[in-house]
Amino acid sequence: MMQIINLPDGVTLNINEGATFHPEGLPDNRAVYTIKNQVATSEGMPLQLFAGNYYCQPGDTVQLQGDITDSSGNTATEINLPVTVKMPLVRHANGQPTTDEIYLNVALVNGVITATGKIERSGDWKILIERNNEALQRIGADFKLVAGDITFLA
Amino acid sequence: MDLSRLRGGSGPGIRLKGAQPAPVVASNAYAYYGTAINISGINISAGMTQLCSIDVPAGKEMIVLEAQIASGLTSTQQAAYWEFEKDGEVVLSTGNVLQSADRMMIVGKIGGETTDRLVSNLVVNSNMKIRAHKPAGTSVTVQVTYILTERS
Repeated sequence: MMQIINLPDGVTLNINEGATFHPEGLPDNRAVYTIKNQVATSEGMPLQLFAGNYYCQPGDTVQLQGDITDSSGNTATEINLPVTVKMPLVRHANGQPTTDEIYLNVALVNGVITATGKIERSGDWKILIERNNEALQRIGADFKLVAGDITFLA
Repeated sequence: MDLSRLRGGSGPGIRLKGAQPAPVVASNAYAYYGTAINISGINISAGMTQLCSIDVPAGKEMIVLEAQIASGLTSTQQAAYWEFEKDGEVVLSTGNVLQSADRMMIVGKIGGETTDRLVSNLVVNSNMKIRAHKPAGTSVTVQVTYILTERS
C-alpha cells in the first residue's frame, strides 16, 4: 500500500505505508551538549575574552579548547571522533555573515574538543554554533551543541 | 546548472510557483531556498525497494537541488545499491556501502559528506523515484529539496 500526499505546490508524493512524511522537517532527536571550561589561546598565549570577543593578530595560530558536557554538567567522555575534522570559521562584515570561511582542525577526544588553526587575514571571524551543528549533522553525528557563537577579531 | 532550463519571471529567469520557499539550511551564512521533502521510517525489504515517488505538476519543471538517503544501520550492515529514476529512466545508480554515520548524497552540492555526490540541479519533467536495496528490516530517511519552475 502506498500513501499519496498532495503538497501545497501541486507536487504529489507517493511513499510506502508505515513511512512518515514530515512537512515541518525531520524531528531533531540529537543529544544536546554544551561547551564548558572554554579556553582560547593565540600562539600559545591565553586570550582574554573582552566585550564578547577574543582579540588576536592576523597570521596567528589560535586554539580553542573546551569540555563537551551533558545536562548534568559532566564531561561527555563517550564522545570521540575517530579523525580530525574541520570547524568552519565564518568571516563577518558589518555584523553580517559572508560566504568567506576558513577551517580549524578539530580533535574531539573523550569529550574534550580542541580546535586549532591559523587566521591569516584580518576580520571578524566567528564560530557559528548553528553552522557547526549543520556540519555535525552532515557527518552523521548524533549530537549537537548549544552555546553562544565564538568571535575572534584579528 | 543548465541555465537554459530556467526561464520566465524576472532576474535570473526563475519563476517560482507560489510563495517564496523557506530557507533549507538554518545558518544564514549558507541559506539556500527550496522546498524540502522529508520522509522517515521507510522500511526496506531484501530486494530493491522504492523509497519515494514524486510527481511534478503539469506545466512545471522540478529542479532537484539535493536528494539524500540516511540510514539507521549499524556499522556491520551494508547497503548494496541505490538508483535514481528520472522521467521513467534510471539516470543515476551505484553500489555502495551505507553505514550508520553515512548520508548518501544522490543529488547535491553542499559538502561535508564523503559518499556519493554525483550531480547538481537535476531537472525532472514529470516524475522521479528513488530506490535502494539494503538488508531486510532496516529503515532509512530520505530528504529531497527542490524548486519548481514554469515550463514553457
